[in-house]
Amino acid sequence: MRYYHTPDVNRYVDTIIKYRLHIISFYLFFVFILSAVYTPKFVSSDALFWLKNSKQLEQTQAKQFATHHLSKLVVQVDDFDETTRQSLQSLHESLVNLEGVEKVYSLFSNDFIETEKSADDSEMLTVINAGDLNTFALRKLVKELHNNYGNVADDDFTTFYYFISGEKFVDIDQLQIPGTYSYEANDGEIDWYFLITYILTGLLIMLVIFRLLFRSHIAFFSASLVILLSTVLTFTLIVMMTGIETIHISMLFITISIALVDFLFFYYRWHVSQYKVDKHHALIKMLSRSMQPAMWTSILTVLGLGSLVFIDSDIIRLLSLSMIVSSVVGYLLNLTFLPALLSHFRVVHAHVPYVKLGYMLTLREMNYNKKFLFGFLGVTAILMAIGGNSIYGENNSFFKLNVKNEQIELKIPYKQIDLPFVHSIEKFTQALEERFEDEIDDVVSLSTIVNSLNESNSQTDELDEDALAQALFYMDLYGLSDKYFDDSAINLVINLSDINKVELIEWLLHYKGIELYFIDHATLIGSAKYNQTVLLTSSLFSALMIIGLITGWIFRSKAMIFVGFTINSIPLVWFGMIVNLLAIPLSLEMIIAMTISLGLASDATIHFAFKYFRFRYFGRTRKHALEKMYFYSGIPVIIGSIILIIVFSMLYFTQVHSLELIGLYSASLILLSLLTDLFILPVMLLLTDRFQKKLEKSPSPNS
Amino acid sequence: MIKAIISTLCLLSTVLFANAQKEHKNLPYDVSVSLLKSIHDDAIILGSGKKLLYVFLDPLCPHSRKFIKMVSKNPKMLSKYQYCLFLYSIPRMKSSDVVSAVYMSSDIKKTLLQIMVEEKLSHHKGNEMTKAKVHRIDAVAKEMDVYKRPYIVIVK
Repeated sequence: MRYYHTPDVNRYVDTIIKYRLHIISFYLFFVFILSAVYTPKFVSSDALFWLKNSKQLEQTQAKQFATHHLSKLVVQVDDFDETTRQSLQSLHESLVNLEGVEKVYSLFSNDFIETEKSADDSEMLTVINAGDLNTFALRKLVKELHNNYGNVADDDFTTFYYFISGEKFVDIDQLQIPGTYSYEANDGEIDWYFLITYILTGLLIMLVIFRLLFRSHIAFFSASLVILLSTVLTFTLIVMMTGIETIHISMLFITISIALVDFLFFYYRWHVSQYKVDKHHALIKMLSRSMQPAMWTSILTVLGLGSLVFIDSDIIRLLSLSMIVSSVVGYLLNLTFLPALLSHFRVVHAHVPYVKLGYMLTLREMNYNKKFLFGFLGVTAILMAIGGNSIYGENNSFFKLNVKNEQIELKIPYKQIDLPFVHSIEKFTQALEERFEDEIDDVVSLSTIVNSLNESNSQTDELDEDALAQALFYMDLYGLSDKYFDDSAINLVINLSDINKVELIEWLLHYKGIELYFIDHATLIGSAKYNQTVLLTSSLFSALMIIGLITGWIFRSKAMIFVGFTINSIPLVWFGMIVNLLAIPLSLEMIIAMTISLGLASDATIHFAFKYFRFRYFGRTRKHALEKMYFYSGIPVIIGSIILIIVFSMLYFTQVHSLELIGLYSASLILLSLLTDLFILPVMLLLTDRFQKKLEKSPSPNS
Repeated sequence: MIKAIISTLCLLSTVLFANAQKEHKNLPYDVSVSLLKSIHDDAIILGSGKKLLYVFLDPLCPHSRKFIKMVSKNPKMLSKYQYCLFLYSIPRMKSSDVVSAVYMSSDIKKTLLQIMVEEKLSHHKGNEMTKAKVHRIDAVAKEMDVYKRPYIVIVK
């Protein structure tokens, strides 16, 4: 079926109208049954998805090292007096005693080593816990040590940091915390109260916008039903097909976006058709004009993202399946459920006044400047090349994860704690400190405590086997051993000052001197993200290539391969440049936003090109074809994009970090997609218009 | 005037000598261990661990007491290490009679812990046997330059 064919849907529409109640009932019943049998579980944290594909986690688990969450509690006090010190110390103890907490690293967990002397011949190496010192002594000691403890207390003793390692994020609501505090906890559970409030607000916005645009409630009513059915069907089918029950909440937004925009192409055609024809013929127009491009957009999505389903990564599989299933389900709903539902209604005000926007854009774009277009495309190509080089080059510099005052915990296995082993840790620490200098505060490990003990031990000089044995003995005596090592591995903590964590993880992964394992989830996730960066980028790039090729095949035009690839790439490339400049780290949220953008951009490309070339085929002028294209396809894209931008922008104010990011990225990418669709795509269609060349070649009848 | 000058000089020299680091004789490990093994039978044994430690203590020295308190009250330290304790008096502490009381008692370990942990002092003038024992330990300690208590040597 080529773009100039008009399918005969008269009998089909009659059948739909005849069985419309059966069709609506069937869908409602089917959705109810599926949602009861294959109920997905939604989570708001992406940690689970990244960790599932983490090679480092597999290695850590193979060594039977326990992994844990590392969270940070920041407490701010006005004045550090004795009462405050006692409260802060009590807080440390309360945190240590909380259920699921393995250890707490704070000023009050620090041990200071000194040699205690009472007479010339009586002395002993002593380890003093900061908690045993009074305020004056503690201030003095920390200042004497040139604030080596800057990561746990700031210089003026008003901000204190507690790094908490545990099985899960801790509940600190019951604790007595002096001053003010901040604690970031995300256990992946959904706040349903918040989500429902948000959905209701989103629906209200959609109701208002549809009411203002269409002067009817039918649009809102039918859109809500189609989106609801499409979303439920998509996720229950995914659970049924893959067995993966845990789905990231942000994937809901993929299906909502795809379903809304697909719905609008159908509904809008039905609505505006009633300006000239009755409601029955409006249904025929809706299906005969929209079913073909909508079918191609679904095929495009299936073929473009189909290969990604076979990649051994839950994230990529779920993302691609969300797109594919929602696109196919949305298409089927728009072909069956939507006409059955709309056949019950009739539009009174079919006239849409805002189509003038299309005429305005047409006038501007008819006289486009080729130099500007090629300049823009050239800059985009250069940005793409730079992006490709930074991703596929020797050092992956595209993805950054800037952190301040955080920790990384490592396990380093040993067979025997001997001098060569301690020296290997020293060498590692030295190399790490040389490479990252001010970016890291310090490294706390067996070698640091052994060296501190040895320096204070008057009985030993240089660190030799005897000195090591003495240090290990004192560690046992003061109960420090469990803190620094267990039966098979030592613990190593890197206190980060202000650093690109991805760069550090990359350096750690490539360090050859010692065998090391990440044990905190944040670092494991960072490592998994880094490992999958290239895979995810390659997946998106291959999807772009396939979309370009299929677009070319649909329109039997090599130029359309370029158009399909370029139009879908532009939002991603410019978005990539912006996030790279702002040093925003790669996240699942970003990939989801990119996938939504890809889905919407590919839909718009097909619908725009379909309309434009169809009108050109039937002899309309370039200007007229462009006006019609804007009228039938541009307006639904603008409406859909504006609703999505508003809804996603609202997510930015939700205070839920994961959703904030999806909101920000998606709103930005949809805006970029919309601008590309409105300003670049029509111009590229004009540029690649082969009907113009044919007309120019064929002699004019008047000549 | 002369008195003042002499006092100033005395004070200065005290300060200077007090800050000067004493150089300690550092015998090779093998020599130290062989010396310690030669008086192994004179040691008071505490703990049952695999790792062997030789420790010179003064029963009245506060740090030696702290050490013994920490070790004797910690089951892990008693099961991981075995302590061979030598009583080696600090002259200033005047603990010779206490040392003799430990060696003269019927349960040496119990008496030592009573003195050092519970701080229940006992005194005894000792006899030839205790003096010989103290002498042997003193000789090895001087040879090894045991300059502080507790002084620990860990056997590899």
